[in-house]
Amino acid sequence: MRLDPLLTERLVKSLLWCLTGLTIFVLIFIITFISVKGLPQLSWTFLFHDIEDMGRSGGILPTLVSTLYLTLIALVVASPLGVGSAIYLTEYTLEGWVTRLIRFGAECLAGVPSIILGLFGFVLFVIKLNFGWSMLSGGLSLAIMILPTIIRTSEEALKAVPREYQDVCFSLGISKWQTITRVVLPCALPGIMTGIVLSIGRAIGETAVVLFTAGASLRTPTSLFDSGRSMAVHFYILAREGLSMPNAYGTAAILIISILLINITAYTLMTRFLQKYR
Amino acid sequence: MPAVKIQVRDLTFHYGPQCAIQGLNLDIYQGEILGLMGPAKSGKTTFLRVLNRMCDLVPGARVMGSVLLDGVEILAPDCDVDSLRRRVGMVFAKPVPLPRSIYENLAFAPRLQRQHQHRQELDELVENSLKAAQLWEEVKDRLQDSALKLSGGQQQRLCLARTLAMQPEVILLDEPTSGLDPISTARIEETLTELKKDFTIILVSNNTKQIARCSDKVAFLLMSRLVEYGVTPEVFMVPKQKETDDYISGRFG
Repeated sequence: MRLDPLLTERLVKSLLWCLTGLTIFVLIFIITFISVKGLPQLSWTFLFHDIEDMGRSGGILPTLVSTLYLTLIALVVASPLGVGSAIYLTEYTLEGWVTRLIRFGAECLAGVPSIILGLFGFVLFVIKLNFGWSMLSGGLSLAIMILPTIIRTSEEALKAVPREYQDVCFSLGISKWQTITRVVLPCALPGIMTGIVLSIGRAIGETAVVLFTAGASLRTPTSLFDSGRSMAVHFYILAREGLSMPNAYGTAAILIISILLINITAYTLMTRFLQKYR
Repeated sequence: MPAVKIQVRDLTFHYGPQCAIQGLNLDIYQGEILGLMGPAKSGKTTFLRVLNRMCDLVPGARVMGSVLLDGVEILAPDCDVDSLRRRVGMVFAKPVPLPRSIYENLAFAPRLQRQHQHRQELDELVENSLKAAQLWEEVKDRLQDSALKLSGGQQQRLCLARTLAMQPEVILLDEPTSGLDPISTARIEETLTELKKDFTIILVSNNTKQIARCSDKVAFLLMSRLVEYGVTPEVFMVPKQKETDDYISGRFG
């Protein structure tokens, strides 16, 4: 027996609605939970004071600075590498076993568990290159972690640029590099930016990698070779050692708020940019 | 007798195992419009793409023979492809404006070539090119608007103007009116007749009537070979080959 198509349509629609609703619900639940527990902790002292008594009192300024440091280093290193590789893969080489191998490698890199990456960063940067537990080691390890995301999203964005634009540019006697920088990249920028923003989110929230490579020092890092703990690590230690749950939730709230802020700013800037270009 | 601008000798072109042009010999004269007609897959577009070396972009392409532009071999490996393409402009079948303003679409390439540094010089170039392509009156008040907002016919004339703004010597037109309404088509054809004083034009078209109206010489390609070449009225009145006759009179699959 067959179901009435109209009935099927209705059933499917409500089922899909439920699935979407569930996803949104989980998201809203997490955000409300963290906000309810964490927002009451927030104050100027909490934001702009040094950590005191292992985190039981005082603020989280050092963790804000460390997180900023780590994320910036990761971005500065990974963005040019990732976008550059993507340009090479899409524009400067033909599809073949080399590109497939590179892409496969990038995908494997994306699948490596972060704790393994942390261990790798520890062995390579902390021990072998003797950077110690430092912002530099942490930032570089995070860069390795976000590299595949940036390559993949940039590649997709570059591929989505109409091929005709390049034909037109070439027929106008514009060189390949000029075509890429003046026409292809501006068109692909929104997609590339999305990848970078996604990566920022991952880098800010990463714990295992940072714990292994940047250490968990309570001081505010002042140089590339200083150790420091990021917000995520601070949260982890506060919660795991049972030092102060309220402060842990406060840190979590700040973490989520900063990721939200970064997303909103990035998308606003992008919309502005697009309006200018279209 | 006008001077020979482009001399094609024994040109053979392969895409992988597939032959697209076979043993083509052709002279193209300065200041004339050469009409190129033939059914689909006869090698018309490929021929255009050889003349500005756009064929290089296709993987597996092999080209043999010789093409001389003003007596200089353009198929030589050491030929500066970018400057060749500035001398041999191309307008594609589908109009593709770049996602920029009308003004920028025209000024983009000349500015990069650093020959037109001054704002005023560039303004003049844009105005003259748009006038030559008969688009100026329609867009003069909104040069800073996005080129993507123009209609299909306007976009095609914009693409023509963009090619003219490079001040090329030869213009290749690949079915420039295939997607246009009769009025836009008429305007483009008018423009071409104006332009041939200053340029050498090669016009590919599926519309034999258009070739008959616009061109001075006509070449008929069939199955990768040149079947007939001659002065346009003669070819259309008394074609020498049976295939040409069949094609012109529409008795052809």
